[in-house]
Amino acid sequence: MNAVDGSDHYSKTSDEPPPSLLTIILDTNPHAWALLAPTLPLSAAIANLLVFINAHLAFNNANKVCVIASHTRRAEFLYPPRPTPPTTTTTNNAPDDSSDDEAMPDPSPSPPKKHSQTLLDDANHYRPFTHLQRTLLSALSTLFATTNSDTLTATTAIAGALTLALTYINKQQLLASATVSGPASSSTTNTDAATTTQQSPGLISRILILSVSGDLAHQYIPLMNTIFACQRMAIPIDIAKISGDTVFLQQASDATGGVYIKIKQPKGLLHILLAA
Amino acid sequence: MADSDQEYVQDISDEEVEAHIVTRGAGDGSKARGSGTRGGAWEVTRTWENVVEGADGTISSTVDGMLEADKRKRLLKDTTPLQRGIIRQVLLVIDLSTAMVEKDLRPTRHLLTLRYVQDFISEFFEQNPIAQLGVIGMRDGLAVRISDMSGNPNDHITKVQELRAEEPKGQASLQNALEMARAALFHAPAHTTREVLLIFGSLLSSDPGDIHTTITALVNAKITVRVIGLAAQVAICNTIVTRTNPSIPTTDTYAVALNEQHYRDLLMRFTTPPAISQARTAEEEANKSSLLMMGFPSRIADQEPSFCACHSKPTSGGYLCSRCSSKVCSLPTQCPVCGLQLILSTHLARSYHHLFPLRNWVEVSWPRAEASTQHDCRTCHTMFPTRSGASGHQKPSVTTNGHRDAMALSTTRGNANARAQKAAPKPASSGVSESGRYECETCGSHFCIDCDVFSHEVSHNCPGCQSLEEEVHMAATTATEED
Repeated sequence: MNAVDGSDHYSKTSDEPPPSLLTIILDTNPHAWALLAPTLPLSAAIANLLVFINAHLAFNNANKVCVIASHTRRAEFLYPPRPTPPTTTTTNNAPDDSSDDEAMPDPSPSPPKKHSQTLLDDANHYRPFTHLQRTLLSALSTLFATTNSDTLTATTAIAGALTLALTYINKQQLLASATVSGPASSSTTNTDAATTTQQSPGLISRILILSVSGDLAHQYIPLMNTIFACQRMAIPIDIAKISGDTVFLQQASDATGGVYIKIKQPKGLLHILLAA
Repeated sequence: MADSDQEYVQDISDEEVEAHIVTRGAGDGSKARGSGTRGGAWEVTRTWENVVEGADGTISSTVDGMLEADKRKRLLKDTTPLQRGIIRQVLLVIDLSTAMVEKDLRPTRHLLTLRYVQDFISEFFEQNPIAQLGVIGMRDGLAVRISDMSGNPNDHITKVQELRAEEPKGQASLQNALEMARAALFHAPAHTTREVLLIFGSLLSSDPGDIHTTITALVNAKITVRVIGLAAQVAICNTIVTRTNPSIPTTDTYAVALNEQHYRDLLMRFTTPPAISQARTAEEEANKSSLLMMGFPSRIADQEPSFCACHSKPTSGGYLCSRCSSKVCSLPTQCPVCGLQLILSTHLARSYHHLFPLRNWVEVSWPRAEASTQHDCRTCHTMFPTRSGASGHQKPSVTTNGHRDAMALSTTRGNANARAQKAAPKPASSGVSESGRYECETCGSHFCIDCDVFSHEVSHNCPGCQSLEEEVHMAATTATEED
């Protein structure tokens, strides 16, 4: 009886603002970053971004982050790492390389221990921050390692990254509403994603695009599709434009009620990220 | 007086009998359609027999499977690219007769209809931004104009909301409503579609004349009528639908709502633009308008307010018609001065996914699932179930006599494998993937059911195709760009 009362009490008092999911799409087009190198090298930009992400995570314990790289010809998840079977997660440099897993029947208890040890190395760091930083950086380095000069173009797969982001957000929102209102009701209401997300904001989502390159004409249709999907799901798209010029992304932020900032002083990126 | 009452009762029962005959003749094969279940107690589907106890003694696995099948069922639509009429002229006819007071759909048919119609209107304009819609009501044997043809969803929604205060009254007249619809659609230009959507709760229609002449007139005017019944199938609706849509099977044009959810689905199905039938286009080949003048106006922001041409109200912002430079305050619209269709490019882009639909993803069988190197959904990182984990977690489509199998758990694994292989040669019958994976045939990525539903219903993009290295595609486009 006591337990029941306690749990009731607890669930009612949790009146804080709902957790928010921040999805960052980082344009990692090497051409554009090479041009930017004198003012804002990519490493500095990522350092700024990490501070911003940490700030976001620090606001609320339940806040989530998703980082997606929009590379020259593909889009990849950087932060929520691909959940490979537990054997490969310890090798910090290859979270994406899932070709050799499941073949080794290692006992599962040992990898988490090693994992936590590597994390505990740095006693001055809040562990989630460290975890995020390591995963993100290692994913980035694998991304660049797998890029060879043949595939280099001055373009970026922004539509793909947005699609990935939206699908991920949708899943997270489904999960969030399932935990809030019970699995039965969520499965009946997700018939129409638009109404569901507006009715039960179990998770507030937004998308931030750090864009450095220009538009691509052939991506117009998929990009517009994602923009309309964002409109339906009431997800604002914020754009931080460091260089280049895009009409499509301006439309995106305008249609979804987001912010479009053209950053004139790239060195002040962190300031703008934190203030805007 | 008493006599006429007697006759009237007789009429109804005739109608009902007719409806039942129709039901039995047409509804035999498909329970999903279940036309007219309200009248047909013989069509009991024994849903509880599909529920099978899982190995752990609960029915959760079965329930999950059914939910998944349900999600998937909605998805499997025709994805062959068709020429569709995206500039639509639609008249929505709502039944406002006493039959709508019935409470078989909660709270009442009337209130539920009004709520769904509001949803329908916003969804309709979401999907068809350059379409025109009008609303007509059937009350007291008359056709009542509720809102005029217009492209602004808010006009319609406020008008429909006002109906909430009024009680349904009298009887419905199909003929009057159809005549009014015909008069409204008759002048629609040739490049648009002319459609009527009828929500019909009554079982009878009290008409001033011969409704068959009206139907002939509709056919001559190339107006298509689709009907959603709320009570049971009615023979005259069937006739209207088959005569005005000669090339489309009746199942797509006339259906009776089984429950609230089904009603909603039926309404929402209408938001997809209709395919242009080949017969009709061939016939109109001579005066076919393949190109259409449209203006893409630019937005202006004045310091001083000026009058707009559409409402004659002073506004400070607006759009200038690209041909005659008159100012209109909202898009899409027709220029009130020169009659040019004014739209934004985003309005056209909104309709693209009807014209270039995303292909359905296929189910993945266990052998192929195991051969793949992918262990999680490409987008949401949900781990796919493995076959060993799923052998105790059978899907209802696979398990026919699962209760006994679940008892003999030690042998289930072998059975499951055998059955999986048996089920493999006939894909797409159940719609549910046994491995929980769905594959895009273009890029070969595997996705989970939630991402499948989302990609097809909301984003209309394949996350795999968009985010993988599109070697061929990119090579082609860069080549053309360089040229």
